[in-house]
Amino acid sequence: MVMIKQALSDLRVLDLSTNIAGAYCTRLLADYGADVIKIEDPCYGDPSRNMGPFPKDEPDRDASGLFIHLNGNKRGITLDIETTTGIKILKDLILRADVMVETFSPQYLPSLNLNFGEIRQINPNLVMTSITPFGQTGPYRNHKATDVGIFAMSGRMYVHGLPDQPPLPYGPDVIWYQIGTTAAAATMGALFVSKLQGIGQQVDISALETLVGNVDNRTLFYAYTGKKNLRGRWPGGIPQGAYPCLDGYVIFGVGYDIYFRRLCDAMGRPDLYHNPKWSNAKHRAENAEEFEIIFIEWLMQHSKREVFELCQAKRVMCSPILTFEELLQDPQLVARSFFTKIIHPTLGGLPTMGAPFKMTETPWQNLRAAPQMGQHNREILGGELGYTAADISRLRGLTVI
Amino acid sequence: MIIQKPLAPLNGIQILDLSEVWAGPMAASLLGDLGARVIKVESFPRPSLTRLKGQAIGYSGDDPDSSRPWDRAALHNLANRNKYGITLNIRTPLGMDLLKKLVTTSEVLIESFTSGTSTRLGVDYPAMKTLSPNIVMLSMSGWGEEGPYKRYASLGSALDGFTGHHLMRGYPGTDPSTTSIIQHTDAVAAVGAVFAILTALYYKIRTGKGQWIDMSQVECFLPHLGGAMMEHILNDRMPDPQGNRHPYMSPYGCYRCIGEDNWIVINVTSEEEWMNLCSVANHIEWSTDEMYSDPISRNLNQDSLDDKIQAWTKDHDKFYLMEILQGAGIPAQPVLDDVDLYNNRHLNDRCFFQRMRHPVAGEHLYPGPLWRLTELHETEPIPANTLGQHNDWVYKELLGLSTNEIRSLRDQGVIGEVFPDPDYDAI
Repeated sequence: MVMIKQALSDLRVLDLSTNIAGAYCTRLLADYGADVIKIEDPCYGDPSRNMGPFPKDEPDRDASGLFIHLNGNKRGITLDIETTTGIKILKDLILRADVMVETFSPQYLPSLNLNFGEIRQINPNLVMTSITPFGQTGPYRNHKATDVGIFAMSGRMYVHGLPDQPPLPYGPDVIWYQIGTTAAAATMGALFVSKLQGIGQQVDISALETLVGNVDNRTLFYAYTGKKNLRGRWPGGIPQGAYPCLDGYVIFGVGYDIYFRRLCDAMGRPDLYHNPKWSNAKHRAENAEEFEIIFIEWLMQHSKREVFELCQAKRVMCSPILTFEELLQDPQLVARSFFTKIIHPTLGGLPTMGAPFKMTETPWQNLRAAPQMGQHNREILGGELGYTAADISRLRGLTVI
Repeated sequence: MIIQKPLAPLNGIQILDLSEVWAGPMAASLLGDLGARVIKVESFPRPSLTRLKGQAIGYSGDDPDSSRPWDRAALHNLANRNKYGITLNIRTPLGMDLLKKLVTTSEVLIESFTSGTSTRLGVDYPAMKTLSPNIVMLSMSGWGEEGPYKRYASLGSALDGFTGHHLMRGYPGTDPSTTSIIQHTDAVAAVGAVFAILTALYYKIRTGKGQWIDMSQVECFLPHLGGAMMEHILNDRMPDPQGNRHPYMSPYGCYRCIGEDNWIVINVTSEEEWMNLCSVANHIEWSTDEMYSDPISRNLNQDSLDDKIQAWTKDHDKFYLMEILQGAGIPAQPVLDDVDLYNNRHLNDRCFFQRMRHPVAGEHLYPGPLWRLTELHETEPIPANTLGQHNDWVYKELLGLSTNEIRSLRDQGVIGEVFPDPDYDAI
């Protein structure tokens, strides 16, 4: 019997993507066992190599923190797919692949005579996941967009921020990762059709649609009530959101009566919920400010960790707001060994993010650091596609690789 | 030649959804989109949190006192399409017995009880594995099923704070307590859970083996902060909130347009785009002004440049600006509100929104699937179930109970279609 160590260890994935969404999509596949080959432009490399963060802010294509984070567990080759030989090599790779992930604008691959119909003739079982801002069809299909632009159109940005100020994006790049995770899920769905029914297909990921369908749990409010969601601190009962305490901030979500009662118990002030001013959500909203004065006075006597423990002991939904330094040492993340280490060829040992979920039978693994530019050219072109050492030198000379 | 359309990816796979609120139910709906038969098991007689009246949930008809308010909540009905919904009191021996029967015929189980509760109720992984040795079970929680916080109560907004993301998305220089709350970890965990379950199912198809997936919403989201985390690891810096700006590219901002609360995002990412912006805005002199002539100068002089750009955008319609900027190859998108969103010509050209007729809430447009598998038939989506809508079908057709037995379950309060106490505040 063949030993299978990881869930996706029989999959071969080609990653032609050039953004975070594509790279994170294939990183997830690689982390759970797929053999992912990252294909980079031989002159420029993947754009994230030039984005940093770099150690001591000194640009170095092989030491970009973002590239290292996104491309662990992958092998890397360089290939100019705009050359005849480059296309031939790509087609050879497509023949041997289960999945190809790409983020080009919809007209790019057809311009290389590689539309999906042609790709399918090479490999009828291939799943080709195409991630673009707005999808393969529709009037905006060729529009250019950053993650902030896509977020702007999702409806979620309009409500994020304060009413008298401009709408705000989320933290740096986080939208790309959500898009990439969604693309990975859809790719797996298409793989079931490929493996069980022998039918490959293109998966059309419109980044916008991955958000509109799943970025805000209030999207349906307008359709149901005719009332527009507005920008503001937050809807719902009190206390809600971030509050200062002795050494930082804690964040609460306390809407229903039962949670408010628990919170008052955690504060050692059961008298508060017996007081008609705060006995139900309506009264609490009317007398919010008066409560918050008492609440903040209590919070300022405790550290964020103390508030967390006191409140969680009464099952109040709350959390300290942590910095990265605190996260790296957090007892829960340490107990679960969330952060692991990679050995990078030039930077040495680095802490790195661990498993997004734990599987008992086929665990997440952290087997190799992100590839240097063209690190696996010889291994893949020579070892697997049968090019000789002389061929490879010639291709390098012509900057095909 | 007749081209055969394939069957849906998860055709023939039965999934039990015991999860609550947003992330778990949404994940189960997305698996339903892929063709799985999803059975949503709701507790009874205690209502699902998302069906409660206590909060401003957005009722269809905008009247929480109309009939069956628990079937009209937008929050609930958004995250529960493509499921068969039953009610079951698993705290009764009879109810537990029925749940066990459903487990033995299902490939996948999703739950979001806190770890102590699942053990107490007898639905933890060891118990489920005994019933169905090769089940794929996903347990979703805020902080994970092991470790000192395993029993802690969580909420998306609190987890957003825990991960540090809350500190990165406010206005620059403002106090974190003014930053609005978001439930982003739920959205991320929903798609993360779909990926996790499909990965485990893929392995199960190859080997016959099931397994347990322990998903901490914190851990599912933290890698999404990877670039910022690497900045901390490599250079010991935590990024300050950037607002609408970019650390080194400019102009990069959100600018006011004509009308009330209208905005456009313009993000210039190259010198070519910068030159094109100057020419589209009819301000070619910007490109030769030494304050803006190179990326570093533009970055230093962002305030005055943003003022100039906004002086141009504020007199124009956001969609007009998008068209002319896109025509010049510049990334630019209007900020859409709900009205814009549901009427957007691109989304509607792609038939993104789905019209569904919910038996109680009525007919509405709903956001559609997150992806297009281009070889598959479009299937009619099933609206979120009303409370206990599929009790008869599931208990009769799937578990083989007689009409009398089902009536008896109803009489004993093990199942039901109406909440005995609709004003119930919370668990």
